[in-house]
Amino acid sequence: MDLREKVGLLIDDMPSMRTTVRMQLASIGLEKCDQASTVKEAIDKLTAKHYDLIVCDYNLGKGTDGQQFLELVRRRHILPMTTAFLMITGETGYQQVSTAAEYSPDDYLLKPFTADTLGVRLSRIFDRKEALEPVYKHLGAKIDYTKALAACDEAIEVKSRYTLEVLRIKGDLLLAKGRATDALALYEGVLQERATPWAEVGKANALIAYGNPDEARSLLEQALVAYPNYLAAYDALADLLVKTDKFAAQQVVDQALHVASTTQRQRELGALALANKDYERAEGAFKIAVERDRTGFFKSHDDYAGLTRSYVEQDKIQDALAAVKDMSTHFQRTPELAARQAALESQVHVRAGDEKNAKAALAKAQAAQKSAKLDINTMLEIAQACFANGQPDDAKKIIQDVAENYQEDEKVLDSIRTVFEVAGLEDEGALLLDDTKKRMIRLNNEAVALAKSGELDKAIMMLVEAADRLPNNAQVAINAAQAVLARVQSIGADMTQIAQAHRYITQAIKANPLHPKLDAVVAFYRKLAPTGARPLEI
Amino acid sequence: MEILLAAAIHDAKNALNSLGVWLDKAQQECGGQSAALNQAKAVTATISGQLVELLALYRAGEGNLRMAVEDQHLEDFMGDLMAELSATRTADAADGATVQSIETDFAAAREIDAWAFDAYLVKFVLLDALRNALRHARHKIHFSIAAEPGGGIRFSIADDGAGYPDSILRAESTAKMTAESSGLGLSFARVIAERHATPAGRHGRVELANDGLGQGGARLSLILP
Repeated sequence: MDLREKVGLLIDDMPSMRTTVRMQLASIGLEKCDQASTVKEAIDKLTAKHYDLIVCDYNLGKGTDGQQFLELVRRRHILPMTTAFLMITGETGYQQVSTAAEYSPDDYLLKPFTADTLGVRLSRIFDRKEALEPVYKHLGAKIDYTKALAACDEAIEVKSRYTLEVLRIKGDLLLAKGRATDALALYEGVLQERATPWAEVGKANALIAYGNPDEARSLLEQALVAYPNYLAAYDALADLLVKTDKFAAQQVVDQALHVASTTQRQRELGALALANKDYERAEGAFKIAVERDRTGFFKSHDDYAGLTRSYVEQDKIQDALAAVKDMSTHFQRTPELAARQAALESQVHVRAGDEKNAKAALAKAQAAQKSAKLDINTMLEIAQACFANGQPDDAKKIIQDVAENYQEDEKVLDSIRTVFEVAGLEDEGALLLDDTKKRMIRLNNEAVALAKSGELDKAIMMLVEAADRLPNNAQVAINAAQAVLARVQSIGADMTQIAQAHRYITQAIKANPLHPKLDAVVAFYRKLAPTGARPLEI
Repeated sequence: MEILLAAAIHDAKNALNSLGVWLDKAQQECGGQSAALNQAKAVTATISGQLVELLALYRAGEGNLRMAVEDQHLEDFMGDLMAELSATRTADAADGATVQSIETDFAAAREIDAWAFDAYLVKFVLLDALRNALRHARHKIHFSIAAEPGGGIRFSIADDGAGYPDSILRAESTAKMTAESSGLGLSFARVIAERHATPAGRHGRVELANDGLGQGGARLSLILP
């Protein structure tokens, strides 16, 4: 393997270690190597330039580590799967890295190591990257599942030393696509040959998708007896339990935290403890989430919101106000931040009985809401503040909007339920969500009925209005595109309408790339679009 | 205690590493190969391995030994293992005779392809066993990997030495072993083997027998489920 053509990025906060590893890399032929000493610097470099290889130390100082960094860049798709990632760790870091659930490095190397060992490991990683390039190249921000699965099947057909790795990727793709039966067959096939933790968890997830949560639960519990450090099993079990038994879910997350205390899991524990009214535990978890990371890179507004609520519920008014204020020193000052702070502050004042300041802060949050586009959690925080201030109509207006837009996103709907729960209006929340759902179904049904009775134009008008109003509702966008295409089919192609259909399909892909009805409408578009029409990028 | 012990072992390992660097330097200065320095390097590697074992045993006793069970490509694993062994190998065997080579049979590794286990810990088990065999063998050592009938893999290390003393073989059949009677390496091997398990309830194990090479040489087998 010739490393001379490769470009590397070396990340370590210790200058002496950078020098040593840099020299080792040079001695095995990798001379083109940039360096970064902080997470921020590394992300800036990664965004600006393509690298073939990242060599990252586990310990990056200031409460940050290489595993957090890896998760961040993979989640944000800054680091393509075709780029190799090698983690360097001490013995303690090795346990954290090797048990990491969702994103793992291509390989890790325990200190101290020789240049020869480094060379052997890098060659191995690059060989694999090269062999699996046809698969990896499909696994970006936008995944074309059909192509990615076809690439997997081709790679499996060849049967190489990478077959297991490909099967693992294929299983993930099948699960993401909701193909539970195929995924189940794949994992059972693997497990017949060998016992391996990822296939156990994959099988459990397939069973959940298949509608068999009980068997999945016992499978995961058994897996954890054999593999008590396998974090993906805890995560899968917690995800499963959260729907039925939040106390049990909290226990599972707590156990996972004993294996590896990550910010993401502290956050999860905090949220569950809040839901379970275990405010002391919530306070502890959110405190760790906000205090550990001293760079501000890995924590979010939500962590401070959680901490504030934990304090408020325990009547620790001063601590709560301090937490809200603290956000200014850790995050960039954006309208988003100002709105979130104002909404939180307002709720603290309500609890303290300070009506005047509560109203003033709420007014500030509502003003921000009118002037800028805010994210869902900030919107819901403002709604929560409205409830607290005795303005339920304002709250419901905001929630209505979010619910219609994110009708198919269970996570968002769950957050909405929580807002109502905190406000003590659980039943009303269920009613509102139910009404919203029915209304969206009615809209779609009416449009279909109109189209069937020949009033296609009226149907299109209805759906287009809804799709423009609800940019994050994939179902509505798909129906709008479907209706427009139906007209194209009956009266012939018209470039304006083809472009309109293209726009709604793109909108749907953005809202939910995994929507089950997406494939059909994409095929319909491709069938009708004349040559020269914009192709669809999935 | 855990933190104190771990930190002390960590420091000791670092000190051994820098000792290794000094030994390399000394070897360069005396112009190449020095049997005495080679021996010294091998000893540092052995101590380093023992420290890892000690820490793992301590953690296991405290109930917080963490295992990272992952698919390991067996050919790569065997390659890494042999490279590490030869980098830190003593020249002398029992009776001052020289063990010519370690015969290996890794044909099954290709067939099995990959197996899930903790590579870091299992590597130390096997390195320790191989070093032990190198100490006791007269001329030959045989190291092999095979698929275990009924599921699992078996690593076997056989030598043509005098075999295990009766006390060790007998102790194996009783459930409780004491560190004194088995030695650190064997206790470590047993703990690591036992901690490898499958959801179906199968566990790893270590087998000792005097059916190795020659007339009653030792054989150690590590079976992973």
